[in-house]
Amino acid sequence: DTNLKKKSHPQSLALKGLLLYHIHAANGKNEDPDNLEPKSYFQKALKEDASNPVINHIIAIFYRALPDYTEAAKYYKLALDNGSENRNIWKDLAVSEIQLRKYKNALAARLQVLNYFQGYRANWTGLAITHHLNKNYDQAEKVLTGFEELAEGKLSDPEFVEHSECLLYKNKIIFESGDVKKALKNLKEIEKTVFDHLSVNEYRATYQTALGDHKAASITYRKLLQRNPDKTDYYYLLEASLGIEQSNITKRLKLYNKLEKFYPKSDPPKVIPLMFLKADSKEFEDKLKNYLISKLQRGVPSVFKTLKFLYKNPAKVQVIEKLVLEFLDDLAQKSKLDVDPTITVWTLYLLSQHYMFLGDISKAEEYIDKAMTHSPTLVELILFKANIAKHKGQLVEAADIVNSARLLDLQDRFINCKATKYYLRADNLEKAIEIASLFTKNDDAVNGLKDLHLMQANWYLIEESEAYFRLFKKAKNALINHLNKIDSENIEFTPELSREVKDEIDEVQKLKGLTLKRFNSVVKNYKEFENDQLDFHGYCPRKGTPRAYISMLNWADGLFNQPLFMRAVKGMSEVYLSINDDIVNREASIIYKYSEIIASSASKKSKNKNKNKTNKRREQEASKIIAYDHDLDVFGEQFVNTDEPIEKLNELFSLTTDKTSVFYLKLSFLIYIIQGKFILAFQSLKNAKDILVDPSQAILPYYLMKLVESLKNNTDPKLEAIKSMVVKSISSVFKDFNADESFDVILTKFFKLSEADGLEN
Amino acid sequence: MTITIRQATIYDLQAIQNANLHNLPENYMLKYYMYHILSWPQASYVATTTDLSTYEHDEEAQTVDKYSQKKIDESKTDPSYANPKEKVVGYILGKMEDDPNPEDKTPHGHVTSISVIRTYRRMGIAEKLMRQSLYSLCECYGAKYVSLHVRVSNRAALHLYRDTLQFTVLKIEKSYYADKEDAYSMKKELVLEELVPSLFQKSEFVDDFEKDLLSDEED
Repeated sequence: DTNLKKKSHPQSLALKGLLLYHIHAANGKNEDPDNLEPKSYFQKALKEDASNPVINHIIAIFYRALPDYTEAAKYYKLALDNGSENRNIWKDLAVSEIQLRKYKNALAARLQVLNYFQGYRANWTGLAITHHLNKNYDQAEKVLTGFEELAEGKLSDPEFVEHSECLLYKNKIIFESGDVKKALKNLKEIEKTVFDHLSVNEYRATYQTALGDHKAASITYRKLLQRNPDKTDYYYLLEASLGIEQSNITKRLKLYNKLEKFYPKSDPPKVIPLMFLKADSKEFEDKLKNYLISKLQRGVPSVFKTLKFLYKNPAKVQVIEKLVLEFLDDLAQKSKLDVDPTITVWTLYLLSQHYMFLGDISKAEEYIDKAMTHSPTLVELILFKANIAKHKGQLVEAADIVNSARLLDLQDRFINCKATKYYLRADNLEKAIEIASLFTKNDDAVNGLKDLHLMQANWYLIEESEAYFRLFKKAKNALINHLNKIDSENIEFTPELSREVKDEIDEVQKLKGLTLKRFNSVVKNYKEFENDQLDFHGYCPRKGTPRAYISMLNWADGLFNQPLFMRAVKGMSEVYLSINDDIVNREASIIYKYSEIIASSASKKSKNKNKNKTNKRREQEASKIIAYDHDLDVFGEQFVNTDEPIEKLNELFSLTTDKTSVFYLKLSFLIYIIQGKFILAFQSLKNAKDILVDPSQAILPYYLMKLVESLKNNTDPKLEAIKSMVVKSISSVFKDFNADESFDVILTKFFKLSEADGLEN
Repeated sequence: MTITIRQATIYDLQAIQNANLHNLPENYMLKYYMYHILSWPQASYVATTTDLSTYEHDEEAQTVDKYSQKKIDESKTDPSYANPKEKVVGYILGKMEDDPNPEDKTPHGHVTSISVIRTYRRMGIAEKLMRQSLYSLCECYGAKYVSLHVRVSNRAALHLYRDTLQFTVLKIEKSYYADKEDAYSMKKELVLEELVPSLFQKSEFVDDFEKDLLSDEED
């Protein structure tokens, strides 16, 4: 502080910026993107002394914490260029570059690190990893061998686990370089020193197969099976290495009969033959019977699920039905003393699931009711009863049924989650969070919502987002209907009615905000996962787990293509597109019209009074829906009050690296249309055409119509040339398409379909 | 479909986290799972459903109807799936003791968390997960024993650990859990040769890796 008083001491200014950042972080203030206070201190400091390495370093630390790794790397680099003698900066630079996937830059940094700190294995491993990431296989191998030679005879006991991992890592690199023979030879050399024999044998089998030595590979797979007879992969790989054709049923049956004898407690040798045996064969029936009856006798609740794969084959379904009905008959014949009543119950349960899958709901209900008469308090039965109700569209009843099961076993979180999920599907958010909160850590909160956010419970967050979305759409439609009625019937707009409408408008806005807020909490979790990598760039080379580390990098690269993330993006995109529609059509919107009327008619006094009332209500509500400590935007207003929904959407969208999915192409098409980028919109459809092999997707002609319509409606004279070009391209790429025909005709022509399912919504 | 037991990878962690959130009251952020898998990559296992149609095509099968197609599409966005073909129905999260000042300096393992989804119980999944993890902890990290805690009210788990897996109860730890329930602290000595998972199949036939699997002669 004394330094600060000396008017300008640039290093202290920078330090103050960093301190401010951390103080704000402790108060949650950094959530506010407009909070530029720390940055202003950095600017001042840089203005005084831009080439001061200490200042550069401080700024780098700030950006790394933010996190903004591009800026962090830039300032680490500047600090070094400006002569910083702090050699640890090279390590931090390497970490930032790897996080950014700038592997070339990272290599330069890691070379320096090893140069300065040769005495640590971590730095050798780190450099080898970086060579590997740059696909310099030879260099990576050389560095690893270099350390092995240095360490020979000097390793202590605790270091052998790390050593073992590094040896296997090197072996993997040799294989990836393409020299399979050398990899196999190396594997033999290191086998004695390596502990992880699961990896040794899996690698060996792969190498033997790649080299065409199938006989040897088959022996290795047999060894692997003995370690783990419950891994399905091994069975199929063993078959392949024995050269058995999948169509050779006799040979396969012989093999699996033997394997079943070796591993009688494992399912794969019992289940795989059910896949390849013919439905009308005696072997199929015998095997199925053994499997079914042993499971039913043990009361395995999932027996239906494990057989579901057979339901693609109608003939096999008939055999199942016949066998189970026979079995049930046998049970009925026997005297009650001889039969464990639970076996009857599980058999009835299986039959109910069977008929449900076949779409025979009344039979499904008949059997589940019979089962429940036998055993009214068995949770699994009640759950299935609810499942049937759900499929009949009775979401509220279904939720109440699951809840009755929950009350039978309050200790079980699984059934608690099921009840929660059913209430979310029934749009009963209050009941859902009330139940979920019985298992969360609530501390001083009124419910478990904050804990569910903290624990990254994506299943809950995505379900709640979608529930909010449904409620938003429902409320908005109701509002529009209400206003249309007022408008068309010339109903007098009294102050009472005005207040009522105002409340409805507020409710719609609130639900819209919460929809975006919750969807965004899933997005936020994914960003957190991405950021979670950071510590491991340094940790894994130290711990000596390079193989697991490399797979972490690959996993993180695909994070934003994951289906659950896309599900959140899809939800948000629908809301953002509707916000955009509202902006574009503001003048014609009836909601806008009445919002204006309400705003102009209300006196200042009543406005204030209402505001106070609303504020009080909102405060109470906020405690029930707050997602984070120090949350500055509980209701998601920041998301709703945007003038640039398409920009927001693009931001979200740019995270995805897989630009070839149907979902991506559909959404990018809609955005391009809005932006008037017709060539790009056309391009998206053209790309989609190549992926959409499934004819049930009528989306293509629907979007083509949309494109043509937008072209017609666009009156910008500057776009004339582009528009006619796009029209030409449409007729050359989509030859069957003629915009003048009715949509139904187009559909039939395109896909020979009579119904237009697969459309949006 | 069948159940596969296999070593967990980083790609399974989100589904493991999801299973944990569905089954148990002790939950963790993803980074804690990452810490396990990146520190002891061999110690954790998952049980997943396996779709056999990834391996072979049933020629008698017919095109899937709309109902089941919809089911398949839904499953892709359900967080319990590690990938569209594999749903995680159970997991074991194992580690080595890494306290810098441990009570006991002998290398030993610890089970952080294990659970199987309720609808997949009574198939022996938990036992199989434990056997794989114990074997790996001993083989890869030289664990001399493994320890774990179990709620005193959890009789099914106690039965599995004490009777089936032969753990011994060391002591009762008062108010071990966040909700103040007591825990049994349990321990099992590990001897590698005795841990080979297939030993517990108790089959009279053992693969000697030499006999032709397709020959007609009986063992």
